[in-house]
Amino acid sequence: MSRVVLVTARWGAEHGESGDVVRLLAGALAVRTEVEVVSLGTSGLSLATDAQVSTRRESVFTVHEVAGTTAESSQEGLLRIALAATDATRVPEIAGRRLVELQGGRAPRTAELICSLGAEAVVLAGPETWWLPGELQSLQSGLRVVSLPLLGDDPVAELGEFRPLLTQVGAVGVLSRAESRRLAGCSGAFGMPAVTELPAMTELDVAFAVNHSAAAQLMVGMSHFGRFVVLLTGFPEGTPGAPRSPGHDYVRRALGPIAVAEVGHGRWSVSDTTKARQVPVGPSRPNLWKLLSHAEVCLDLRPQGIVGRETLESLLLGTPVVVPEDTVAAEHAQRSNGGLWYRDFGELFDQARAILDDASLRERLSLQGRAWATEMHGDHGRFCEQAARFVLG
Amino acid sequence: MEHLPLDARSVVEKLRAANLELSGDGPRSWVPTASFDALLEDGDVSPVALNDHLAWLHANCDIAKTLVPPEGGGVKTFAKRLIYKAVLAVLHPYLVKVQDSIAVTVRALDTVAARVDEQAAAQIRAIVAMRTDLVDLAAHVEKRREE
Repeated sequence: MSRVVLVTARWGAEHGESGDVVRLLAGALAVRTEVEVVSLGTSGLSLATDAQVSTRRESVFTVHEVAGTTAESSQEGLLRIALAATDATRVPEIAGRRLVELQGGRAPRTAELICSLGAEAVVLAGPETWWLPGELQSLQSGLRVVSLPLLGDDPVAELGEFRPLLTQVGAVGVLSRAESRRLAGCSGAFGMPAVTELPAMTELDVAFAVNHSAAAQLMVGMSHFGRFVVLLTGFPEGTPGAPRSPGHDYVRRALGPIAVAEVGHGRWSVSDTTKARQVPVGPSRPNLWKLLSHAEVCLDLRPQGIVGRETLESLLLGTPVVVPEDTVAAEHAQRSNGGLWYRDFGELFDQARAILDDASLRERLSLQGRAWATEMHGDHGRFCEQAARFVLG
Repeated sequence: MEHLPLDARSVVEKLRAANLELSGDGPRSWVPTASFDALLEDGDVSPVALNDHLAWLHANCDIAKTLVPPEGGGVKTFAKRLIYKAVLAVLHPYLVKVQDSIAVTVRALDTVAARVDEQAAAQIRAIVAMRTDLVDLAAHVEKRREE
């Protein structure tokens, strides 16, 4: 059985979609190959110190934790140039944070460790690993190295200063067309046209497991309410919530005689015109499925991640979505024809009302969304094949 | 299933076009501030966003609802409906402008109210922080005196 090394930052300690995708990719690769994980930076549970690498067995994976920060100090000059040369109005705060994440002390033995594992291919997941291809090639030429940038629609992908780092890999895996567009639109340093081209980009359709049997049960306490919509303002815990929200009561009044179940950080609540209560369950994913599968529509107010996981799960469960425009989630809604997208709160309400008032529209969105999501993001066999082809070539 | 496939993009564009037609040229991104800083709930002064007059304006700013044609049968209603149509034909652009002006005024008031509430919350927060610092300082001084 061939062996693959997956390099990522803080394995198992990352909240949100980046961590989910890395784990799903590792799982998909483990079907056909032996997967060794190299985790850069400590997860908080690790005993690794500067002097040693901590190795442990975790399920089907062997995890090697390399202590220290995730990037090499030699990148500092590059980062400073990148920040100084970029128009502050074009790069939002998150891009700055990403750049700062790349900065840090050395993790000097990482490349040696990866080469010593005798892998057929190396997957570098996340921008924190972009400094590695050059070092790996100098130690072991001919080693297949592929990159999964995990940038989504983040404008940092367009920073030309990072293009040379990505050109050293054999293939780049993208999770959405938005990410593919961002990387393709990447300009050269100081706004000059790019000199080098990126390697071929492979689109990966990550498959998400949704337990339809569990989702079919109505959530505890919801039987007192009739039809309801799901309002996503914060999920899962530990990820950024909606920066602005019109407020639970206002949404309910604006949508008319229908209950609103709000999924927010630390508090799930449901109310209609006569009663309001906290949902007495933990904020887990199976509970979210139970809400989504019985909802008329899912209104998403959160900033969107790199794969739009909750949007895909809602589509898989046959619930139309209304999501923010120009996001990965809106791309899913467009490609599936299973949901609508809004520019502002006024449009959010208009579109929610249109779906609620028109049963035929709702049903058509639901059928189309479910069919597309099941084909593209519900087939694990297909994702395993895609992952193996991307990594092993 | 009837009418499949459905193009979601055309639905979004249709809804946007319908709104433009209905609502004149007023901004549409506004919603009343239904939630405000939790600190203000326990404050001495109630938030401006909860002002009764503002709430009444929110509830009654849509005057388009009152512009319905007279209902019922009979000659009188028929005559009223004719007058209604004639008046509306002349005054419609003016009424759309009036509706937009009212809506924009309410939105502007809401924005100001939100800004005032933000300032109030920031002030309370600053006072709380200063008080905490003073308590820490007092504890520190006490400790040094005891030493």
